[in-house]
Amino acid sequence: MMEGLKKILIAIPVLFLSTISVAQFAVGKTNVEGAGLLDFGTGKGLILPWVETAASTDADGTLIFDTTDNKVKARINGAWVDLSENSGTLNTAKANKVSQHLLKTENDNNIILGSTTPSANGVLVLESTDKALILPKMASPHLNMVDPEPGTIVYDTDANLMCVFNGEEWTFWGE
Amino acid sequence: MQQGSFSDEIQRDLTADDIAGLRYAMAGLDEIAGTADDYTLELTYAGLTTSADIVIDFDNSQTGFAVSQSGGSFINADHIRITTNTIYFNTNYNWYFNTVTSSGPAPPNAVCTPYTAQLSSSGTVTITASGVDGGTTDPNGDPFTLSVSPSTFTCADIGENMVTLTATDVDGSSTCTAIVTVVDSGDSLAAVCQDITVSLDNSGNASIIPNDLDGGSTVGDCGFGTTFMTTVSTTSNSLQTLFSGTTQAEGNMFDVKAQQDIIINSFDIKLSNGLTTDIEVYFKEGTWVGSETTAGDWTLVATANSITSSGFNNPTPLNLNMGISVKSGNRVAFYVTRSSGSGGFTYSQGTAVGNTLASDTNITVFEGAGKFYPFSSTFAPRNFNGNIIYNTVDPFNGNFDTSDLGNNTIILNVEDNGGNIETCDAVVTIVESSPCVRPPLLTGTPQPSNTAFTSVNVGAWPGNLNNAFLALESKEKGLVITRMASPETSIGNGADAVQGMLVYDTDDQCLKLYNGTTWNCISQGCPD
Repeated sequence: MMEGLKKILIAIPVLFLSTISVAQFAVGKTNVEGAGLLDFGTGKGLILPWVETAASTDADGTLIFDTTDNKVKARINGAWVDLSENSGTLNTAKANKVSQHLLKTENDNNIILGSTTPSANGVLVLESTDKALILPKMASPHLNMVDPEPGTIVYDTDANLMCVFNGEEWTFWGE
Repeated sequence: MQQGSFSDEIQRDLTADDIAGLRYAMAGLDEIAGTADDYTLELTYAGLTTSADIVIDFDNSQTGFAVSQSGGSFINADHIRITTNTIYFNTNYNWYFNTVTSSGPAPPNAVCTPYTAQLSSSGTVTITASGVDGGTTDPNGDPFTLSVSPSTFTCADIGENMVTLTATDVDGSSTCTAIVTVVDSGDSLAAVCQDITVSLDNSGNASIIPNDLDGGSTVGDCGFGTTFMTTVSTTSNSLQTLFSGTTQAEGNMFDVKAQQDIIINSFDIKLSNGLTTDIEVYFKEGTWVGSETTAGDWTLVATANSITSSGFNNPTPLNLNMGISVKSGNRVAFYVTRSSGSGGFTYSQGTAVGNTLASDTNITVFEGAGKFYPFSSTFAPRNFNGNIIYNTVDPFNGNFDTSDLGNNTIILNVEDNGGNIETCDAVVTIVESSPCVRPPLLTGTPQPSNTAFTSVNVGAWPGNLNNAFLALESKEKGLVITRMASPETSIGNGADAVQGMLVYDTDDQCLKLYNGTTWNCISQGCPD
């Protein structure tokens, strides 16, 4: 499944007005564990979209990298909550990437996994009442991931923490 | 004394020497019968029959004398008689003493006692036998010598050691075992502190251990020891003696004993109405008794000039900050006195020097003396009228919270194996929690990203994004993860739950992460 998905994305990346309703997806590995809806391998992360307009209408459970203050944020109980402790200060290369991104034109594309109808606004919407995103895993990403991108989210298997990167520093979340 | 061991030996009458020997045997070294050093005189006979007729007469009232057959049965006293000069035997029988013995010769009786040996600064100590001698004696008064083994100890022997004390005289030797406790001398014990800054954690707490404050303390001759922390209580205690006195001189001497570690800082005193005077406070370890006129025994620890009476019936505060540390169980003495002028320093008549004047759970003040200045005439017993202002020194568990923001003085105590303690003060600056953030690794080659979902026009992307299994791109839309009622129920904790799962819990209204064991609403953490 991962291979098929990957081919589509690489070959025709702009034609993403598609609705995929398949049970489980894996990227960077060959099988999905447990009740994973979207599963990843080990050694890399997931880059959240670089959003310049964090919509107040977004659904709870929406994750973004907010380019207005360079923070990873989550929509929780009707409000945007910072997952990054501080605003990130981007170096020139990173700032250029973000500014080039913001020059692009937004399409109305999205991907829905787990359902045929979107219930929320998102570039990737995971729909299930009993399946979950399994974060990509890595040992101590703050020590091992070279030059991460703003908005990177990854699970630290050493510390059992979710790590988010604001372009300058990592913030950590656990129990 | 031998009166023939066997029936074919020559029999004879007892001589005067024999009688003296018998008396000596009866009465011991102190020549008093019935005391612990008495000899045991044993007269036994092999072959005695009950028809024998031996009469024993004592020349005094010491009648605790018995004769037995070799088998142990006592001979009827009607059958044997001992007079002052002779033991008479029934001539019808071939009597003899099988053996006549006393308990001597006797070796000394070694008695041990525990001993504590302090190592020297070089880490060794040699003990003498007398150190572990608990009262060795010799039953028959012979001179004896004592030896102990082992007698030399080093750092390796700190703690309890078993030694053998041997007492030897001409008759032989005996031994006993003593415990020698080897302790550190404290000669090389020194407390060295360092100031530290500690951030509260996200919960507003912080904790330190003694080592955090240690700036290079040397703990004993052998490097052994423990460290612990104490703090001075933030609120002062005040022990009042009384304020009813009307007797005056220029000062008081009195003892204070600590029931727990305290720091004595100041006094309130009783001065005559309208009096303004200068006050001196002298201090010494131990009692004032015996030092009342010896200025050299005392240290001037505080002066308070131009102190004006708060009124005859009111305590007049000196507002000193002496900082005199008194360990629990220790007694110290103070001499509080005017340093100019006469009279006006008011106190009470006492009952007896050394009687308790006032006490609380931490300190006791004793009846002392009135004094003319300086170290002059003594009037005793006299009772200090006033308050003793002190702070307790309490164990500190190392925990801080938001109420401790700023500077805190913590006392580092280093204690060696001998119970010697040295202290130093460390300033612990507590600052607000510093969130846990970490910089990224910037050296090396990033991993490429190959997979992307996008809702914008793309160029070189996602190849120019680092380290992602999946890159999402949008200027307006986010990643929406699955929303569900409690994942503990919806997914459970079984095989369906996978470490790293992240959902939005619509019941708890939180991002919930599965750590491999449990689901938890996320809160900020730190990888180290």
